[in-house]
Amino acid sequence: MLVKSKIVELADWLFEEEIPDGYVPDKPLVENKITIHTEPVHMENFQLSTSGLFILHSKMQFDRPVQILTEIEGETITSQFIFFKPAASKLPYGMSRHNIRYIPSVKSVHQVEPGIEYTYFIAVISKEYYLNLIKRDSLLHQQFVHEIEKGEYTSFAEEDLMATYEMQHTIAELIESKKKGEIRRLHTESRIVELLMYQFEQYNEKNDQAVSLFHDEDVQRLEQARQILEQRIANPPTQKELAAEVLTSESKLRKDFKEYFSVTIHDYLTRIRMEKAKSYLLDDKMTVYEVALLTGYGHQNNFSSAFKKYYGISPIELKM
Amino acid sequence: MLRVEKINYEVKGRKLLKDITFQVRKGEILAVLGANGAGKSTLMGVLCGEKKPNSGQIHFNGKLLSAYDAATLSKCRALLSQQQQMTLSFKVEEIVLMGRYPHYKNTPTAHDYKVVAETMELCGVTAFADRDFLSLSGGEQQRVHLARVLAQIWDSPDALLLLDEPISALDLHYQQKVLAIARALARKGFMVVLIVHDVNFAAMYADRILMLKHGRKLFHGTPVEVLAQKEIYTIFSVESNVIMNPRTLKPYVQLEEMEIDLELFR
Repeated sequence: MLVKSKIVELADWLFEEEIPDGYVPDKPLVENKITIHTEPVHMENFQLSTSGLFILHSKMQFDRPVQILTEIEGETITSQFIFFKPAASKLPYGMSRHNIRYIPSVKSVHQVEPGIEYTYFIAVISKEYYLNLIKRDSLLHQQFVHEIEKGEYTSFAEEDLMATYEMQHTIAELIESKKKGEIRRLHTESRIVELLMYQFEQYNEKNDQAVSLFHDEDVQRLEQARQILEQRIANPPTQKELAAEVLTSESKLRKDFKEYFSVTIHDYLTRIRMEKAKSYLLDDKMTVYEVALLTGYGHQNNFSSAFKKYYGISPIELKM
Repeated sequence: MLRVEKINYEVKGRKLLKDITFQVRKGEILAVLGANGAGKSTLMGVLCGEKKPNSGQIHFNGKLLSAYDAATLSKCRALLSQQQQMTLSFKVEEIVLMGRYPHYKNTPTAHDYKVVAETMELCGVTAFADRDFLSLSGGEQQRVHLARVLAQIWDSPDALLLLDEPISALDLHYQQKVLAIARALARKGFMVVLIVHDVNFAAMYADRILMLKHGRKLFHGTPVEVLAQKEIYTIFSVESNVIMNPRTLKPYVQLEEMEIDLELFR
C-alpha cells in the first residue's frame, strides 16, 4: 500500500510511504519525528511504519484555512481519531471523534480551520494484516467484513463517536513507547488490537443497548453440540450436520457457539482432538499412527502437521 | 456447571468487568490471569455473590446463583480470599472447624471432626492443631484457611471452589501442593476457579485460562492456545519466550530480564 499526504498550498509532500501489505520478517520498523514550522503550518508529526501498518500521530495548528490532501493506494483499513480544541484553551481536548474505515484506494481533501489545535491519529492497516489481527469470523466486525468483501468504501460506524479515556490512553502508550526492534513491533501490534477492540466495543454498545442473554433452550443445544463433538472426534459431523442434529440453523449455531464458548466450532474440534492426542501419546503411549486414526485425522501426515501447528513441536519430538 | 453469561460490573461509570462469558464444568480448573487491577478479584466477588453484576447472569448447577439461599450455597461453594483478617486468638483446629458451620446445628458431629482432621492433614497443618492461629507464619496461616475452606465443601459432590491467589504466601513446596490439591479435587468432580500470578503454574495446573485486561476478557482457551509471546505481552507488558515442554506438552514461559533506565532515579 502507498500512503501520502500534503498541504495543498505547499509544494512538498508531508510524507510518502510505500508499505508492504503482508508481514515481512526482519523488515525493520521505522520511526520518524518531523517538526514543521512554515507559515501557515505548525506541525509535530510522529510516524511509524512496518509491514502492513502505518501510523501517523500529528499535532497541528494553522494560521489560516488550508487544505490537506491525503492519498491512499491499496486496500486498507484505517482507524482514525481527531481531537480538537481552541488553540488558546489550556484545557485538555474537549472534542474528539473517531471511526474505522475500509478504504479501497482514495484521494481526499480536508479543509482545516485556523485557531484550532488538532491532534490527528491514524493507523493505516493493510487488509491482509487487519484480517490477520482480528480474525475474519470474529463477531465483533461481522457486518464490516461483509462490506469489505464488496470492495466499497465503508465506515464501521455510521457516524463518528467520541474517543473514550481508554482509547486516548492506548494511543498515548503507542506513541510514547521507548521500545526497540521486534519488541516495538509486538508492542505496536498489541496496542493496535486493543484500540480496535475499544472502538468495536463502543460501536456495538451503541447499537444494541440491551444485552441479550442466551435462552435456556439455546444453551442446551450448545451443550449438546459440544458433547456430540467430544464423543465423535474420530468421525465428527460437518457443521451443517451438527446444526441439524441439535435442531437449529447452521449460521445460528456458528454464531452462538463462538459467543458462548469463545471459540469457533472448527477450533474447538481441533482443541479436543489435540487434547485427546496428548493423553493418547503421553499417558497411553500409543503410536502416532494409532493416534492419528483415533483422532480422526486418517493419514499420519495430516495428524502430525495439525499437531505441530497446535503444540509447536511435532509428535516425534516428544520425550517419553 | 458454573455458567457465567455476559457479566458487566460497573462502579461510578467505570467498567470493572465487561461482557464476561465462560463456563466451568465439573472436573475443570479455570485459571484467571491478568495484571494488577485487571478485574480478577472483582470477578471472584461476583462469582461468590458478594458483588451484584449490573447485567448478565450466573447459573450454578442449573439454577441462578442469585436464587440460592445462603445456607444451601455455603455447603457447595467456598471462597479462599486474598486477604484474611483475623485479630482474635483462635486455635488452628477451631478455625478449620468454622468451615463446618453450615453443616451442623449447635455442636459438631463426629463426621465434622473427621472432615476437619482430613483437610488439616491434607494441608499439612495437623501438627499445629492446638496452636494459636496468630502465632503462625503467613504461609502457615494461609494453609489453615485453605483447610477451613476445603472442610466447608468437603462432602459436596459438585462444589465450586474459588481460590483467590491461594499460593501468594507459600513456599515452593506448598505452592505446588496446594495447586495439586485443587487439581485433585477438580478431578473428583469439583469446579475450580483459580487466580494466580505465575503463568507457569497456570500452564501446569489449569485446564483453561481466562486472560483479563481492563475488565475485558481478551483471551480464553487452553494453556497451549493462550500462553504465547503476544498474548503474554498484551496482558502483562512483559517480554517472554514460550517453549513447549516435550515431556508434558505444556507451555513454559521464560521471562526476559527487564531493565530500568537509571536516569529515572535522578
